[in-house]
Amino acid sequence: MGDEKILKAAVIRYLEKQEEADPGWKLVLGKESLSAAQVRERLQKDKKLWKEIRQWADALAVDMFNEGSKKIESNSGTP
Amino acid sequence: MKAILVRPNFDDATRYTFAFAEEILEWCRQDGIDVVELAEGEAVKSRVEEELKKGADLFIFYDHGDEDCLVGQDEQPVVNLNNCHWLADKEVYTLACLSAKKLGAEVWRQKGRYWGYTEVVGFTTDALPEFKKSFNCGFTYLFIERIPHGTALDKAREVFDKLATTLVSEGKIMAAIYMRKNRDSLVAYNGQEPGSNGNGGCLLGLLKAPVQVVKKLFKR
Repeated sequence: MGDEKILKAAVIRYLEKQEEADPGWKLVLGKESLSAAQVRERLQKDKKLWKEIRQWADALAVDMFNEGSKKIESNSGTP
Repeated sequence: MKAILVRPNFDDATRYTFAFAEEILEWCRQDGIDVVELAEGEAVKSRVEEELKKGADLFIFYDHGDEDCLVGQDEQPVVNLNNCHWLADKEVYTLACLSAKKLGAEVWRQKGRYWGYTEVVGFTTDALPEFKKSFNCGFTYLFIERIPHGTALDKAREVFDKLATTLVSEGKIMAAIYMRKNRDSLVAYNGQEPGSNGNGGCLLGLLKAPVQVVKKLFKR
């Protein structure tokens, strides 16, 4: 679970940078509207929110690999 | 084609989605769709039922919802499982959270067609034009280009994917994450049946990328 802690720390750092760059930034989640600071705070205790962010970050990473595979394939040309 | 567009505006989320719906309204008017707008104070059950009774082909709803309802300006359901017979045989286009789960499935059972989301919809304020594009693109495919639901869903999902990739490249990682999440909870009954994901099976549970790769997403 060490790696998960590193990932969470990276997300928290990202949110800190986001808040510095744009103090008005918000994550709108259904009826909730959360500032970067509120998302950071929630991530410390809200396991469901963390699981969600982790899940979809994973999905994005999978997409990146799949996209990369397609690009390699299309750049390889005909034999 | 006659449409009813309902757009409450009473909190942070609806303030944004109210604006997203403006584009839909413009498209309707440009394309000759006869549209009745029920905005803010008119976005309540009595007015919605009144207009549905007059007849319509398309019901558009932006924004809050739950598994079994769409929520109006007074924070009460405008349509739920008790009065969704008004949507039988109609097209429904919504970005409301969760509503495709039960309400959408019921509308589909009553021979309606439902474009919506099975999970809570998320978006971030650093990418509002991108989210507007993702939420509205299906409308163009279905009602302007008149593409079948299944094809429209595939095309819309491609839009979500491309936008997510672009957002990552722009360092808008949280936006990309919720773009990706919304993409997977978007459904189009009749393009697919309720309960199927319409995309040939979900690989996300099987394919797990190394955490190091995910971590790099958050480095700016």
